[in-house]
Amino acid sequence: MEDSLRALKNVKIHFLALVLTIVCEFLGTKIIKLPIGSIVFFPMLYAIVLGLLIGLPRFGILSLPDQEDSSYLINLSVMLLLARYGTLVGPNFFKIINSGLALILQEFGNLGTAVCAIPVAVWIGLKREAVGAGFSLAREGSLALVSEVYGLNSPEGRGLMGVYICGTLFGSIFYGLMASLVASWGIFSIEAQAMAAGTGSASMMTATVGALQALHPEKAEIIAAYGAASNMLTGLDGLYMSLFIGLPMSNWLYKVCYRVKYGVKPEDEKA
Amino acid sequence: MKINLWHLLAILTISAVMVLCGNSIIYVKAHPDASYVDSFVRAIPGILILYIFIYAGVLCKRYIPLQLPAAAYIVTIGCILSIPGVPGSTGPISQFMNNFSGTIMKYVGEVNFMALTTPVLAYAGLSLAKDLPVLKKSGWKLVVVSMLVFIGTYLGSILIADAVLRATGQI
Repeated sequence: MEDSLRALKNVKIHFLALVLTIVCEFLGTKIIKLPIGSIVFFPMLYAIVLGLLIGLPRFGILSLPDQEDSSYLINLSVMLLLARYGTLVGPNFFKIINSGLALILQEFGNLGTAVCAIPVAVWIGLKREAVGAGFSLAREGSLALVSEVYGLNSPEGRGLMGVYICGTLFGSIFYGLMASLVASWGIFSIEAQAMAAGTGSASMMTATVGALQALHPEKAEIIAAYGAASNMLTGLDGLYMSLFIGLPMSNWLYKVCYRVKYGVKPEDEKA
Repeated sequence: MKINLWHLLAILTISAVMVLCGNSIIYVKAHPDASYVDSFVRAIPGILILYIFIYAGVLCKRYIPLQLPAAAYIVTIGCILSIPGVPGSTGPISQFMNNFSGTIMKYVGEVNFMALTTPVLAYAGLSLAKDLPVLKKSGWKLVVVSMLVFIGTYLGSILIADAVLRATGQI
């Protein structure tokens, strides 16, 4: 209650957000062609970067309470976006049902997370932090899971928090740039890429969808529909994927990689 | 978190003004003849429909004894109400659904999806500077691992979705 009234009365934050929105929309979407592929920049990405710059302590514009208010306001302003999400899925409902198999099976793609991240994490010298950092995309569901299994003050919890914070800070930007690069290669179908956009994070999904739409405007509607549908699906199954597959697999990969690097079994092993 | 519904209305309206500004800028870019004011006004009915979904979702969370976040209800309500009639069916229910969802989409469709994202990310950006010191503490190793986590999740899903779509002949 207190929070909502305090955030509501913070005129400075609302004013800055309004100015940012207008400036960023006027800048508009830009596609930059590079030798390694195209990169798409669009208003929501400018908004994050400019917002972060405005908030830097050296400028003295935003106090800590201001930033906390702003953080609180994300949760409520995102509701308009969520309501619109539903209306992206509904009109394409039957089309999505038809691609149900691909949409459901791609959820297992989240396991690529551990395969990609754990070996390198061990290689650069992380210990149990590697498991917490590498088993999932580290959104809110994973925080709940790890605090339950290991506690957030454990090495696993620290690893997870690191990825969680990185995701919050530059997840959307990274996803937007990565998605535009991969899309411009033309190897994978645009439908498959749209389905992969749903990661359980609304902002990362939106950045991916935005990038794909900018490169394939003729398929804008179906891209948004698949992205929103797979994001809903991840919201439903993400926790179970992490608990029954992601975490056990990460622990196993950790043991294997540890033996390869250090030649002995990990001493801090847990059952 | 049980939010005061009046505070919610005020905060939504502040965000909605930003969305409408952004939306009208996007609209005028696509239709150079349109005026900013007309473009602002034409999306208002759509925004009001989104308000209804949000309030329905928030009230569902409050009165339905399931451990589901309001977000889940909001998305589901919007989804169900915008499903068109079953393809090929001419029954009265299908007809009604088709007209109903058609009307909703006529108004909601005026609200550009990307215009809804910019104010949210503006608030997000403005709240980020406080998290930078934590990132410094957690170190470069976790930044590297984070990037691999993003890449692995995305590519893993693409590979499977692409393979299944090809195997089932949908692309």
